[in-house]
Amino acid sequence: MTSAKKSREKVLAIITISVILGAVAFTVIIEPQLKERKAHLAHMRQLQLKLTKMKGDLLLKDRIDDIYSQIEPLIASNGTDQQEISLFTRELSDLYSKLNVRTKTIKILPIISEEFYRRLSVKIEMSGHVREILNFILSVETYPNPIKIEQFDIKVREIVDNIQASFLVTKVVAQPET
Amino acid sequence: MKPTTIKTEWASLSLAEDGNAIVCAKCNGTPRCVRFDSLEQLKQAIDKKKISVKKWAVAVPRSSCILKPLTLPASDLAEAGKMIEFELSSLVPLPVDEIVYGSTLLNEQDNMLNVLVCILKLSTLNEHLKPYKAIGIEPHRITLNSLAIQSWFNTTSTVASEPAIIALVSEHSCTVQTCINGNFHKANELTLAGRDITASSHEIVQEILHQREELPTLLKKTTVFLLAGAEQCVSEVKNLFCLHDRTVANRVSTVPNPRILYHTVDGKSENDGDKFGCEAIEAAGLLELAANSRLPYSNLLPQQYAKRHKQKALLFRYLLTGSLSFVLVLLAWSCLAAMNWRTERISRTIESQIAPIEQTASAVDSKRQRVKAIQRQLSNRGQITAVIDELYRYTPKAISISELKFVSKPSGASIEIKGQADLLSTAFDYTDAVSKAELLSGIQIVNAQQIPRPGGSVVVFKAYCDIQND
Repeated sequence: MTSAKKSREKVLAIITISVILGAVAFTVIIEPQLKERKAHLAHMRQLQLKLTKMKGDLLLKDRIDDIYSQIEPLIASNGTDQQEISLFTRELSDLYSKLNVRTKTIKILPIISEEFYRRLSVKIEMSGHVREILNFILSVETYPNPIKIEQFDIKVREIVDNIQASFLVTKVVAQPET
Repeated sequence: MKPTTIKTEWASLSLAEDGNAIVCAKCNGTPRCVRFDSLEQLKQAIDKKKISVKKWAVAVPRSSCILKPLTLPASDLAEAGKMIEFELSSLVPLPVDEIVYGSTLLNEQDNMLNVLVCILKLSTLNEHLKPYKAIGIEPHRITLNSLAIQSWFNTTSTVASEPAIIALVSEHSCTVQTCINGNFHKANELTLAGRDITASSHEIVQEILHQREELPTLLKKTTVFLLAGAEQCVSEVKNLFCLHDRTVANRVSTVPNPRILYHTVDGKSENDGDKFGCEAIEAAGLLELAANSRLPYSNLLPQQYAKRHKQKALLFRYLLTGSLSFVLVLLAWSCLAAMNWRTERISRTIESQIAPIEQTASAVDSKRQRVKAIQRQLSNRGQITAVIDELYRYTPKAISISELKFVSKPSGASIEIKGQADLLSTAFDYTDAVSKAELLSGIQIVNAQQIPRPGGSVVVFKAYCDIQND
């Protein structure tokens, strides 16, 4: 009985030691290599994707250059964010100042900065005759620069002459050249 | 060219009286006996790796051992082996830790087992093993030489299953032994050195007759006699024996000069000049016993040796397992390292392809993204004007719009209208009214509620419309 117990304990000890050694060998020797492999593979795939995209870009180069040369004046950067916002609000002001509307608030929203361009946003609240409000919309939509009304909300009061309107207007400009 | 060597698991070693060392080993399945002039010469051969043996077997002379028959209530020799330890004190007047013992089966009777116990003093054994130890040989099997001789006769099929008395006669000595049903029963060694052939023959015949007398009466008539050894001596013994008892003449067979061919270590046959020696037979029989694990309980190996061998084997296995595991881990690591190196190399190749086009491609990408942004910004221009135009044209006069919300989305735009109508049906008819419109055809009334007012009621409704991009 004691001998059987001893033998069982020996087997258990050997199994335990083997498992511990296996775990240590895996953690110290194999796992770092596996991790490295995972990282290498991810890096390689990223590079492959980048290369494919770049090759695609190169194929489209002439066409894109051609289109870009046409729109370049529209998106051209005029300086810092502050300068761009100033220019944008001035452009808007030019549009509504000719009309018989009362601007309540002009709120400058944070600039969304993408990799190669910036999106400027301004929220304007105004009131006036329905014809004047519609004129403002029309003037924005026909403005040559890339200005766009993203959202608007028009509320009619009791009288047609006094319409409350709020607009979210955006503009896209290129990132300044470094 | 690589010199031919003997590489084997088992080999037996027997020492001749003239100091020759006879090594018997199996090479490619055939036993080969090699004679060395001395143990020192054997040591040189081992050192030069001409002989590589894992386990050695040696024999101890009959004269050093005490043979005692014992009857035990055991079913097999393994069980008997455990019982013998307790019986030893009654067999020899020596402490158990000062002796070594082995056992062989004599016969079985009912539930009893008759065994022959071979006892040897540990000090005698150590003395006997001293020359082997001196050249670094630690035997794994130590057997009584009589058992080895019988094993050789059994192998060469010169002994049948009937009772037999075997006399192996050499120049200096003679071994006479009895076996019944193939089991060893008794043996005696006679020293013949310095005697003439007649006197020697007489003594041998006396011993044969003595051993025959000790056999049970029933077996006496069927006992066969086998005389092997130097030709002249064997025929002299046969003649003398037949003179003593004429009835046995047809049961006496002779094996004159039973010879085992000697080889050199290189495998060439060696001319031994018709020299006969018991040692080669002993070594060949010993090898047969050891290599085929016959009579395992006859091993006289001391406990300390057995323990040491076991520990060595265990250590070797641990080392082997450890080494294999290490190699396995190393291989796994190497495979992964190789794969990583390959991936890294591919990455470097891609990087080298990227480098020359990176700047140009990046410039193209920046332009592409700006173009996309501008295209999105300029897309659907005039859509709001068109929506307001359609609202003006298709909204019935009975409906007045109080609120209009417009939200532009990447996929299109959505508008939400709040208005009033005089009747509930008028509000729901709004969808029919704008069905012909281009942009507002999908308008849905999502909520309509009739609210009482002084002098009547008014229906307030809410409509929703999704406008898809072109």
